[in-house]
Amino acid sequence: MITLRNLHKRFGQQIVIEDVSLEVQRGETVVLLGPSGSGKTTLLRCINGLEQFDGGEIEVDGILVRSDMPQRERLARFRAIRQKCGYVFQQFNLFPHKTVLQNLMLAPRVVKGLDEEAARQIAGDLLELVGLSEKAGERPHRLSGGEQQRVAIARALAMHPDYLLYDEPTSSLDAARAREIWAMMRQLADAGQTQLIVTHQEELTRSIPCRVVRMSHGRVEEEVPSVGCEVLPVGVSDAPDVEASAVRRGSRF
Amino acid sequence: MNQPRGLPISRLRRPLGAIRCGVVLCALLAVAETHAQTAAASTAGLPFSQLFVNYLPLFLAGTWMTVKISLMAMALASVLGLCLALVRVYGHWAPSRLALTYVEFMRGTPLLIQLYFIYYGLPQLGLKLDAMTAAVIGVGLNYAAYEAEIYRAGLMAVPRQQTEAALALGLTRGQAVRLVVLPQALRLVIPPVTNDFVALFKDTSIVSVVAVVELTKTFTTAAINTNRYMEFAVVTALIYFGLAYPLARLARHLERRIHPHHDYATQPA
Ligand SMILES: Nc1ncnc2c1ncn2[C@@H]1O[C@H](COP(=O)(O)OP(=O)(O)OP(=O)(O)O)[C@@H](O)[C@H]1O
Ligand SMILES: [Mg+2]
Repeated sequence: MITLRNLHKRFGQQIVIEDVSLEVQRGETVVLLGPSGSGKTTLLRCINGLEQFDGGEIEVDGILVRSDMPQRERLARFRAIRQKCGYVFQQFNLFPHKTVLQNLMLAPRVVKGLDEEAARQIAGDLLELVGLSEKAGERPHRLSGGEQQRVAIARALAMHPDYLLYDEPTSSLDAARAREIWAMMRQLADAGQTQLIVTHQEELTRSIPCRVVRMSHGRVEEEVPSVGCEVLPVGVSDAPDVEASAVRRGSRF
Repeated sequence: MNQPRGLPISRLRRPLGAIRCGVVLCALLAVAETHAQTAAASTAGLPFSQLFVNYLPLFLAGTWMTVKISLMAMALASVLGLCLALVRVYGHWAPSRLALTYVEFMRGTPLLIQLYFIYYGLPQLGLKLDAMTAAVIGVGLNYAAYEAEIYRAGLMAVPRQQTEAALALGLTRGQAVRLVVLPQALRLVIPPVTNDFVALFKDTSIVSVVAVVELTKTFTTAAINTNRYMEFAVVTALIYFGLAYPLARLARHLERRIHPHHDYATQPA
């Protein structure tokens, strides 16, 4: 479970996050909506320590980080948290000097210490899962935006994260590509993957069963449950079983 | 089907050919070094062609010395320059400041004075280096400062988001630098670093002042002994050019091949 308690964050004089408390339960998908500049990205970055915060605390599965902890201790705990929380960026941020397959293999190799063969196995399975096996040897810049984002999600999944954090995962994609990604996220949700999704695209909440949290001016405003019953496109949804089983194998058991 | 973008072999071939020529030349020079003892004696009135033949072994030996000093100084400058850049960008305040001071000082003082200091000055402190070592260290330390600035620019040119992506996957900062930032930075700096090596190669002519018998020293000896400054100057210049040009061509070729921002086309910084 991810728990934020009374989180505060300032950039200089500007208060960006003000007394935010939020819980993300295992297995649920939470969508964080809000206008531009309301502090959504900052909140997400605080959770895995890409941004420092000024007050309150963050707890992920019992790993607690408080703003008044010594720097060294905080960094160590965030490293542990990062291995539990996969992060997907709006701009994908794939590693351009590595092939698609190597992008997926890097973290399992150096963070988990898996051998080449085991990492290749995981990476290969995940590429198949996101329907990009034939692109394994390509450099990321040769892929379309939608394909790159699928690789980025697979790269995060390769660490078998308990939680997946997304920052505007589909904002730089056209509508059709975006819906493909949403279909993937829905499949992950159905398979029990915990997800926290930051977006300003309201349609997303109709595609995925989720709890909606609204933010504005650095505060959490309201929470609305959603069933996400909209019919999904058939793009990549032809392998739901593989997906479900991979997620189960990966993060649950 | 997507054809993977391989190396355009046809474009590679020419600079590689030039490098191969350089390697062959170096081998010849190494052989010539052993025959270098046969110096010219009294030469007044001889045609230049005869003088040229007489001095050829000396020139080949001198050229070989220039190549050797250049290569070793380049190696020193590359390694030290990279270390300086890493300390500058990722080091704590004090070491970073120290590296900056080194860079500014080496760039702000003449190489000639640095060489005098190392070869003639250090013995006063009891540190006596042979001429070639002094030359390599002098040029290497000097160029390390310039390389450091290039590497630093390369490290800073890799978008911050690359580091964040690596950290978010659980890599340590050290791993992120070593496995994600550095490989990309090194790619970016290959052309400017190669360009700098052309300059370094020519700058080794300064080491003739510290009793190293390299190409320029050989030239002055030959010219003074025979009073044929113009002819020998042309010969010497041609030798420098013959070796520098392929390297300069290679730098240009690499500049064309490596488009710094190509890979980030979908990742605006
Ligand atoms: N590194 C930074 N330095 C200073 N101010 C920042 C920084 N990052 C964000 N901000 C400010 O914090 C506020 C919240 O930014 P944030 O990126 O979290 O908003 P957001 O809700 O993600 O907006 P968007 O929907 O446009 O992505 C903005 O006013 C922004 O200008
Ligand atoms: Mg944002």
